[in-house]
Formats: sequence, C-alpha cells, structure tokens
Amino acid sequence: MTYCHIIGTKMIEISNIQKKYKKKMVLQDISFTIQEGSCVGILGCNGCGKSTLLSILAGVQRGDEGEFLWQGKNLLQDTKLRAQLVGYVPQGSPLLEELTAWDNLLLWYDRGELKKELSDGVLSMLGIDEFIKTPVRKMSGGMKKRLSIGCSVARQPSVLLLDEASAALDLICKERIYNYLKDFKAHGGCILLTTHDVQELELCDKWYILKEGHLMPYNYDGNVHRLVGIL
Amino acid sequence: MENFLIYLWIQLKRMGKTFPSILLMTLLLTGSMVLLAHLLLETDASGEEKQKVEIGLVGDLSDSYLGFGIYAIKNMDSSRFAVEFQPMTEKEAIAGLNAGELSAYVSIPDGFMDSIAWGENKQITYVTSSGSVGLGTIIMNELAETISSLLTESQNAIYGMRKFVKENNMQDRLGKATDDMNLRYINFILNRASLYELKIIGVSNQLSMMGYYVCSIILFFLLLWGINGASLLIRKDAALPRLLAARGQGAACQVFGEYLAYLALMLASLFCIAVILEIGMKMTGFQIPEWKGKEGAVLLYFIIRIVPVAAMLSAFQLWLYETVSGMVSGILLQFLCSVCLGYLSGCFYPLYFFPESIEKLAGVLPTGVALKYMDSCLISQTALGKLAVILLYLTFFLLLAVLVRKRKIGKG
Repeated sequence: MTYCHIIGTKMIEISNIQKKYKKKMVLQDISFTIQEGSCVGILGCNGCGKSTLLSILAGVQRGDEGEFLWQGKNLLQDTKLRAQLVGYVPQGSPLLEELTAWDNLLLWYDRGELKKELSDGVLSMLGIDEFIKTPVRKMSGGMKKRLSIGCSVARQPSVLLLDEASAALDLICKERIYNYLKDFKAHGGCILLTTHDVQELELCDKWYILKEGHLMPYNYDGNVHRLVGIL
Repeated sequence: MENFLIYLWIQLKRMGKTFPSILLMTLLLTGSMVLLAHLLLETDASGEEKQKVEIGLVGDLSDSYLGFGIYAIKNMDSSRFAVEFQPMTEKEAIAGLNAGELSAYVSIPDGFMDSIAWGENKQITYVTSSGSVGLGTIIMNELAETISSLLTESQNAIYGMRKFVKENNMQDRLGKATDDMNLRYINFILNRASLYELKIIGVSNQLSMMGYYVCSIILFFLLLWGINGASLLIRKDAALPRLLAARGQGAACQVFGEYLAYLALMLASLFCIAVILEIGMKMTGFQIPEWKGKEGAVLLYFIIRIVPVAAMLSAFQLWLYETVSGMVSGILLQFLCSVCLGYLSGCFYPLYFFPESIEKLAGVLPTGVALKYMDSCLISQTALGKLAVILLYLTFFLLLAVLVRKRKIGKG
C-alpha cells in the first residue's frame, strides 16, 4: 500500500508567511518546520487565520510574503510540484452532488489508479469502496467527508493540509479518518491540520497557537481547560 | 489542459444526469410561454379589430334615400374596413362618446333629405369629444369637411345643370340627366379604390408584429430558463474551486469548463423544445409572415442562428449565480433580472410604447441587443455589428464570473 512519495529531506520548512487583509495583518512572520512522518496542529479561535494559512500553503491564496520549502524549492512558486506533493482538504464539501462517488473521484484520479486505490489503497482504507456507486446527495455527512479526503489525497501527496477535517462527524467516521492519518504519518507523510477536536489534537506531535496573527508554540498536555484559557 | 478536459467532461456528465428533470422543467416553461404568446398575439389581433373607427348616426334616418346611402356606405364602400357606422339615439351617442366607445357621431337634422330636394342646405353636425384629439380626429374632421364640400358642390352642379336645361328648352331630358349625374357621383364615390392606403410598417425594420413577439418570447424563455441552472451553478461553499485551484486549475479554467457544460445543457434543451414546436407548427399550420413560403425546419434554423444569444445569456446567468451562495436568493435574483431585462428590452410590449430614454437604454442592454439581433435573424438579415456586441457582452460576463470566482477562492 503506497501512501505518499518519500520525502528526501527530513523536513518541510515554512518561513515568514505574511498576509494582510486591507489594513489588518492576519498572518505575521509565520515560521515553523514539519518533520517527516509527523503531524503539526494549529489551534486558534474562529477567524484567527488558520484557514488562510492553510490555503496559502495549498496555493489557493497568495501570501504577501513567505516560503514553503521542500528540498530547497519554494512550493509557493512551483505550482506543478506543489500540486504533486501537497494534498489539501478544505472546509466544506468539494463534491458534486449529482454524481456518484466514482464520478467525483474520476475528477482527481486516473481510471486505473482509482480502481487500484479502491481495491487496496487509501480509498479502501477510508471505506469509500462501500458506497462507490452512491450519488453524493444520498450520502451521510461522514461518507461525504471521507470522500472529500479521498479526493484530496489523490496522486499520493507527501504533505497533507487538513482544514477542520473531522468537524461534525460521528465517532465511527472520525475513527476511520484518524486511522488513515496515523497510517499516513507512519509512512513518512507530513500533516498540518487545524482543528477544534481533542482527539485530533492527540494525533499531533507539535502544536502551535495562532493568535492575533502570530504563531506561538504550545505544549499540549491533554488539559483542554488550560488550552481554552490561552486561546 | 488535461485537467481542464477532465473537469469539462465531469461537468458535462453532471449536466447529463440532470438533463431529464431540466427538460421536464423546460417543457413546463415552454407551455407557459406558448400560452403567453397566444395571449399576446390574440390581443394584438383583437387590437386590429379595435382599430376600426366607430361613428354613431343620430337623427332622422327614416328616408329611403338616406337609408340606401347608409347601407351603401356600410356595406359597399371601401371605408367599411376602417369605419363602422352605428345608427343610435343622440343620448346613446353621447354616452358612447363619453365612454370612449365612439370616436364621433353624426347628427342628421330632421327633414334633411327634403331640404336637399328643395335646394336648402341643412347642416349635418359632426360631434366629437375634446378628449379625442389626435391624428385620427384630425383625419376624421378633414374627411367630414371633404364629404361636406363634395355634397355641396355636387348639389350646385345639379342646380347648374337644371338652369342650363331650362334655358335651352331641354326639360324633357332633365330627369334622365339628373339621374345620370347622381349615378355618376355614386359610382365615383363607391368605386374609389385609393382614397387612402393603410400601410402597416410593422414594429421594427420590416418585422411583423407576430414575428416580433416570436423573437421576444424566445428571448424571455431563454432568460427564464436560467432558473433551471440554480441547482447546478449555486455553491454552498468554495471547497471545490479551492481544491481545484490547489491542483493548479485556476478560476478562469474552472469557470470556462462550467460555462461550456451549462451552455451545452441549455442548447440541448432548446433544440429538444424547438423540434417539438416545429412538429406542432407543421401539424397546426401555424406560421408567421416572415416564414411564409419558406420550406423545411424554419424554427430549428432560426434557433441555430440565435446560438450566440443563448451563449451570451448563459454567460450572464453563470455570472449571476456566481455572485450568490443561497438557492432562494439565486432563483429570486435570476427571476427578477429576467423580468426587468425582458421588460426593458421590449419582450412584453414593443419598444415604441416606451419613452425615448427607455428605447435608448434597450439599445445598449445585452438583452436589447440580443432582441434586435434575433429580429434580424428572423428576416434573414446579416447583423454582424449586433453579433459583435453580443460576443463582447459574452466575454464581459465570463470575465466578471472569473473575477467573482477568484475572489471566492481567495476569501478566508
């Protein structure tokens, strides 16, 4: 089972990301590294800029400054390489409601690759093969989220950016997604996620709090009350 | 390019899946449009009937000569196609005039025919209301004046002839000569064929009223058809555009793919309906003056010619849906824009009903230009200038849609 390209260097480096909306500085000098096979969690209250940071790294938005380095190459400038290496799970549903899971996946996978992934790959691990012929409009929220992740991890990315991926999901579905993420990590993938979910926090190896545009390291010890106090 | 083609294919597949339900909706819409067309054309036809000027005849109509004259004017004279004479009492005539049912009435004084016979000139009174001033009234007054002069002068001619006959001792031929002269007058008046010619120049540039309404209803149909696109083009969130952007497929690429698929759906529905209507037209024998003498599938050929209009309107609808995120607001926006643009462009009433400023506005509105282009297509005229404007509008709407999409992708 292949999950990702093995990254040659030991880390991904994100340095000096800046973003300003009109006069408000949303992100200021955001810099951190992600080790190979590790997960980094970004915490913060609603509207603090977590999604903006992820969408800049995914290439959806342009930052005012900063670099997203992999093997010395800036992925913010190399669109092709970024598309190949980075998988992005945005908030909301990127699915086309009228089509089946199969048709939706065809947008992201080659036909042969899709069949392979469904029989013995990421998609089978996410359990998408169970509802592959179901139209999206008849799917539950959990099915949709799994399918969204399935779409985002096409072409075996090395870096996964998850924007509140497990929000509003039932326990069984969450469990499935966590198992997949653990496996992704175990195979050398890097994960950067934003979350409000305690279980997802436990999946992370490093935590940062984003507050008033600044990123601060945080040592999460399972004490949610302390975390809430800081946020 | 490969990503674009895959996205286009998926979008086409999506449109294909919804095609049966869209076609059903289109059929319902067509039904209501056909009904609207029927009502408009019916109103227009009855309007032509109403163009007849109704004149009341009041007074002493008992004389047999006068009765014959009135009968001749009502049934034999060419004015019967434009003027309707109705015998009535003066009270009825005044009421009719006040209610606007009569244009005027003619009051014939008692003993009118006897007075003519005795050489007196009792005046016929032509009564009209002060409210009915206009070209019609002026013409009516002029006609009354003409007829009055004609009668007086002809009477003078008869007296002149009598005098001449008496002075030359030719009394034995007087009766026959008077009859001959009267018959000549009657013959002259009743046989006149070209006292006036009514020429209807149509609503715009050689187009018949029927042709105009066919164009305007098809345009309004295309505008309203956009409501079908609500479920396909309105997005609750920007997750898909963002994911596509992350893959390197920018806003322009996304919008263009969606646009082509949406246009394909619109054209497929339009051609299905055109085939059904074409069969219906052949079965019922319905025709508009512009298609008279033309063989083959005239409606289908017309629809092919107006594909640029459909392309422009689908770009416009795509842009409108791009600006909203809720289904209800999207449908409302689309409906209101359709009705407003349809109204201002002359879909419901020909533009000459509107003030000059609205006519000028319609000339620059995309739907106004589209209607004029369709008019030209209907009468098989080339309209390259209008086509160029339509294509410019198309590009403009697509650019707007791309800008809105870019903004959506980049937001938060």
